[in-house]
Amino acid sequence: MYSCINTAVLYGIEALMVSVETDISDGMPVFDMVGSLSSEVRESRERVRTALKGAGYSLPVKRITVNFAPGNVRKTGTGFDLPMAISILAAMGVIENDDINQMIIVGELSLNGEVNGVNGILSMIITAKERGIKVCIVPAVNAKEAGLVPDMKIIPVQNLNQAITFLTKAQELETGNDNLNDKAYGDDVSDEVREDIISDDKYDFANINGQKMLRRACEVAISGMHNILMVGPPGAGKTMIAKCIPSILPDMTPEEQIQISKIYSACGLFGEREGLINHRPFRSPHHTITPNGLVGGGSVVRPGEISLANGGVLFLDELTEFNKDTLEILRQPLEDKKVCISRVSGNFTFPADFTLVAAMNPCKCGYYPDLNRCHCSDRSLKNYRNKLSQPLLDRIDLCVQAETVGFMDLKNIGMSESSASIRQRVVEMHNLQKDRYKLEAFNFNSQIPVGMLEKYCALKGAEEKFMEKMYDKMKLTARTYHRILRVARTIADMDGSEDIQIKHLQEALCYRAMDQNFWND
Amino acid sequence: MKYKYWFNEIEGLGNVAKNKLIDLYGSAEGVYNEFKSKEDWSGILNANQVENIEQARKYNLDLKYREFASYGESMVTIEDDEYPRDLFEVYDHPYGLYFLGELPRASDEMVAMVGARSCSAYGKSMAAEIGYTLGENGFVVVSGMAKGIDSASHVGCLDAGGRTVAVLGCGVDICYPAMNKNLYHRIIENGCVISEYPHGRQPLAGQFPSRNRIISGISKSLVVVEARKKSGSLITVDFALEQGKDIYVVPGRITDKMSEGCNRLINQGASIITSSEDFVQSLMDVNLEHINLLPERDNLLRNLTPQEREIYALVDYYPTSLNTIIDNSDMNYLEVLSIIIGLVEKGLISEKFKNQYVISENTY
Repeated sequence: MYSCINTAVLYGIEALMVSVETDISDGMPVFDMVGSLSSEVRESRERVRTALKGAGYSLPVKRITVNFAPGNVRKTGTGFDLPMAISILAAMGVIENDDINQMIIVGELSLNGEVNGVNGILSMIITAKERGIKVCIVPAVNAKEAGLVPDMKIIPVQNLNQAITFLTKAQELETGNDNLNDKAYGDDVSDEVREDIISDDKYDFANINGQKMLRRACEVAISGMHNILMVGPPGAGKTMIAKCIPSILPDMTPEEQIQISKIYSACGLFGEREGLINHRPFRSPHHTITPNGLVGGGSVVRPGEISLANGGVLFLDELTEFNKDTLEILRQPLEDKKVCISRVSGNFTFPADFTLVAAMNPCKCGYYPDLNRCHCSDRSLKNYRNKLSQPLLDRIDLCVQAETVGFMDLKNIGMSESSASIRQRVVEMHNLQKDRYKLEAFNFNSQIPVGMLEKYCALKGAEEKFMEKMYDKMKLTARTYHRILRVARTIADMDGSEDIQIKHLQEALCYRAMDQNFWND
Repeated sequence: MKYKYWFNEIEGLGNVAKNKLIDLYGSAEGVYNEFKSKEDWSGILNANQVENIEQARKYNLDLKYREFASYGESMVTIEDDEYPRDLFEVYDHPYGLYFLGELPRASDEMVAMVGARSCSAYGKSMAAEIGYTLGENGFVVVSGMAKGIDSASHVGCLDAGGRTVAVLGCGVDICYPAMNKNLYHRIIENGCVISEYPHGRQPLAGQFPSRNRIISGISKSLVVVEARKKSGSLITVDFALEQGKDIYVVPGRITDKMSEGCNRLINQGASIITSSEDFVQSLMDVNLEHINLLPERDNLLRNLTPQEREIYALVDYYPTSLNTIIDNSDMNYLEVLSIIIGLVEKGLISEKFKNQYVISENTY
């Protein structure tokens, strides 16, 4: 007999529909699996055989052929066990259900018949919904994640028997998740979860004292989604400030929430949340990270940290300690806001629209240019400087110095402006930019293409003369000049000014990018 | 000349031994023609050195000398009148010196200037100012063309139209550090670079202390600007003391580690430099009038607004961070930023490192 079951495979962060076909016919008793399978899918034969035995069904002494279509897509992952078991049972005639073509079944089996969770459920269910499928049988641990897609009937199963029971008797299982769908995109839940993140008072700008410049620079950076680099001696609070940045990020739109949730789901990082991921991600990878870990890759291609930070902040602490090759890879995603990964298994494009926040010491010992404390030799300074390339530094719009906090500032913890009120201003700025750029392909000041700078960052006579003078004085380059204009645009917006004035340019010049010449005399 | 070159290039023969041989034979030519390995050389040469000289006598002198001539370098030896007289005071003065440019005349009064390679804007400004005043009054500034104080001293002297001598720790054909390429050529045009090391010799660490004895040896007096407690400049000071030169020191703040060595020297009795004019005056025994080297700067300073003046007062010769400036002024954060950039625009201050400002170095 023949049967066909729908399931899905994760392909990058998107899912593709796959049908599992089983044919049982007379002949030599073999169990064959075909359809461009990776080794973990091949192994499922043994899991399925044992799990079926445990459930009370032994495989017939016949020729069993299982095909995974389409045959040209490489099947990876462990979610094929359950659909394969169901498909065999259907071919054996144990399950006879006319609606089975309208279902998608995903899950990994253990030898005793329990159903384990899989990665990327969210993408699979979204793809299934696009294909008009209404019912999903998913592992119980993935039920909450699957339930985020509206208008889908989710059947969570804990073991193979539950799935069989549901399919043979079409009986409603006690899901305990009936109200799941109501929570999809639900604002109430979003707020609760967000509160969790924001009310984490450890990381609130209210607790950062002094550091006026750093605070202001962070606000400018987030208002225009500019990349920012903090330079300062050890103990200046660079990491602390960076950790406060999530608290001033504005809310995500529903589209952004689905996107980031899909990425997290594909990486198995979704966890047991009640709703879509609704706070902007803050990723802080350790400096030992590999190029594949940062931008994505691997034999089964997975998104990297830059995609996990999509729509949020990628914080690289101790920037100079990162492998140089790893950092240089960031150049292209920083410009394109996405990353294309080409492997034998296919070409994948992952979103990488992140704001880069980086921190570094000025030299190996951390105290340059205070020669009373810095004892780095010329060679050591040169080596340190060479860890960062100018092209990468040029891509960071804002650069500010962080300084050790004095005692008086330490005493008044909690007296500064809180993240909540900064966040309010940031949200206003974001709305203003969205409104201004609604007809353009970009959203923020930091993304204004060079060709449009004339339109959005036009300088008047006096301002232009000023910049002409500073261009030579500060040895700017075309790229740094453009960056300064974009930052000045954001500062002017924050000031409520239509035109960019000299004072805005002056402030932007203070934040101008790090220059390798700083390490020379 | 070919004999001198031959003699100077004999391997394994120290300066002291060479000088003794010249005393005995009168000239390098004499050594070449009359040297007898059979004689008793105990007390002057050891067996290896005798062997080396014998070996060297077998070379083709003309070939070697033609090779040297093709380098375009000049050479002066103790047999020549142009050899700096003061160097004879140095116990192991080199037999020959290679140089590019024009040697100082016997009538020139030379002042050595040494100091730290990594120096503050203060040290750089002081070195340049003293170099300038010396150059303007006809002194020849002698230094080592290293980064920092050395370069600033040379530059100051050259800017005043003076002549300057750089003593290198490598062959004169090598510009070390390479970043001083421009300075190197300026010095050759307005003075000379000299070295006791042959063509192509790389800058090796061990060669620098011994070039310091030449820096102090050819000079009448020595100026120290910014030396740490264990600075290499103090080696030069030791040589100078041994050679009986006058030591002048630019003082620093007592909290300032970069001038710790200088302040100690003052404590030990070195003369203190209170201003470049006073210093040069004391060397010349005449009264110098204070010359305003940067009238434009004073004009700029006079025309600052009170706010600008307040911020300018907070900037120092040592890097001051923008945060400190903001904290120490009563002004609004954004106002300070705009004034700082305004001062940078005027050229009164410069950004030494990210958001760290110093008073501009190009002040004399």
